[in-house]
Amino acid sequence: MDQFLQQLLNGVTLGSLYALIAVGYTVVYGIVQLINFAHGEVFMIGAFGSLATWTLFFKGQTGLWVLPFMIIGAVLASVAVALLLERVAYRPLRNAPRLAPLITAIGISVFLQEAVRLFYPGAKSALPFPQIDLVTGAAFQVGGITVRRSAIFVIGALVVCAVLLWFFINRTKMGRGMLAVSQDPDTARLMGINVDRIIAVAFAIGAALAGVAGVAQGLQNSNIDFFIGFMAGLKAFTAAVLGGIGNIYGAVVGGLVLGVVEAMAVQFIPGTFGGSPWKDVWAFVLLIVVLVFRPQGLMGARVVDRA
Amino acid sequence: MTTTTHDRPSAPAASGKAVLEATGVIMRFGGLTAVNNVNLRVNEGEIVGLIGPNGAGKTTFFNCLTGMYKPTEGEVKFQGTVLPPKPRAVVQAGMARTFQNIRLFANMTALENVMVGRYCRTSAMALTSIIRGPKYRHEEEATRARAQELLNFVGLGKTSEHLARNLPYGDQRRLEIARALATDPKLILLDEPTAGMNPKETEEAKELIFRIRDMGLAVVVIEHDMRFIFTLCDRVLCLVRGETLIEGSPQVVQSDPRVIEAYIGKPDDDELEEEAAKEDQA
Repeated sequence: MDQFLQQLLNGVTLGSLYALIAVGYTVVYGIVQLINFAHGEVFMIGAFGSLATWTLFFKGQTGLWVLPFMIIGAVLASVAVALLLERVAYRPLRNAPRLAPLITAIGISVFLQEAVRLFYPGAKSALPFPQIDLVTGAAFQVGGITVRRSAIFVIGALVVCAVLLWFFINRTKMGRGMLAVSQDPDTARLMGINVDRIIAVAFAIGAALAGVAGVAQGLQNSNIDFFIGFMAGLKAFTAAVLGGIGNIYGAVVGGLVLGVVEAMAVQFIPGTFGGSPWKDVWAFVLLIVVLVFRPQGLMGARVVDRA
Repeated sequence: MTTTTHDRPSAPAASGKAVLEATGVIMRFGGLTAVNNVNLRVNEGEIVGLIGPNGAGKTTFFNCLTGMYKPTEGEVKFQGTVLPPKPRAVVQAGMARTFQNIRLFANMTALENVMVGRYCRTSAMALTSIIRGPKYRHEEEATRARAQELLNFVGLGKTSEHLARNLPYGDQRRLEIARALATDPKLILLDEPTAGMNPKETEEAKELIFRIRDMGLAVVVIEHDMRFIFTLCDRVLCLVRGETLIEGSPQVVQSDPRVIEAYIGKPDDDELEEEAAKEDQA
């Protein structure tokens, strides 16, 4: 039983990280029907942004008060990069065939990885991420379960972000504008909505959450490298599809389900196909199974009509 | 109630001042001329009807007026100025429209749909809506109140929390009108507002359009229902194959034999059309 709860906690922790990133895929897809494959790199930039903030301004500090600044640094870096991408790479291709922005996204993804590898000092190998009091350090025991401090940070971050996001979408003018644009951009434009701005906001929201995820990743793994965005991005994309791409709540649910399934597969699948080398396989098996029986994803594709 | 609607006098707001002036509008799509040299003047507090057989270019002309298309030639002046061909600028200036095929935000509630219509009249931006200052909250409340008021106005006051896609057809049309009114327009363009409505709903729609006019708005209506158009409008413009066939009072247009001919056709119309097509190719 303890083992099960332990894996559940590990899964939820991992899933929260996926969910934070997955929201970025799904929000952008919901608005412009673009799979932003560079989103994993936006997450990676967030992690480096937070590391850079710490290195430049707070080197040597480990107090908890540094963490908000690191989060701000991460969010600023990832949002800035995402907005730049949207403006420079995606907007000119808005009316191009779907394949063009998709390939552009893959190109940007490689570009960002290489840019960080070449130009961030020391990024050719993994860099240690600062350890912060209270959110990193010795794990503690609750009953028979080991709780890592960073896990609390990750899960807490997801809860806070999800609540803020819900509020933004359902209770603000801008959120209403986003819903309108996702359902019918042309009509939304005729209602006086600045569609370009809404699209930029969608990118910014996704990037902000990815930035937070970047900090979480750093705290969890205690080091970061230029390649962390690849697998995290792929998993988060899987989570978004699993939950139903375009559906924000779906991304959260998809992320959590994916994380839990991975953790459980590691622990409970016996023999050759069990253990951590196979966890990615089981994650994608889950995706395939869900897509066969429920192609629109767990929570339904978009919150939107296609009519 | 419905018996008083016919031959209703023009609203006092009708002052003869032009709200919309389209002169020499030509719209070509490649070799096809969809709208050819059409003029239209709409005065304050006036209801103008736009009729014509299918494919006459009514909706294309509408799209030129509302800035969805930039006319190939000619100009459209709204309150004396040529608007930039940007939907946002057009809405901001005070022109609103509905669609032939209903284009509501299907998965939003009726109230939310109308609130989206208020978008261009409120100032709250991304940052202020996250911080939620008192000004923002005040504005949000005002938007909600105004939206509810408009729903009441079109007779949908009780269905404000229903999703737009679950509303009956006639209600969806009225919701579209409420959403258009939410942009505080001076001119509203209705593209087949009674399509698919039963006679009772049509009569209600007419009543609603009169009430909109009485608020001081100018109205342009595209419609196929002749009885509807001739009892509603102050002036009627008939388009055939992109060109103005006739413009005038409902009585004049109604009694013009060419209008009926345009709709029903002459016996040899098909052959004539074929000849015309050959000439076009040459």
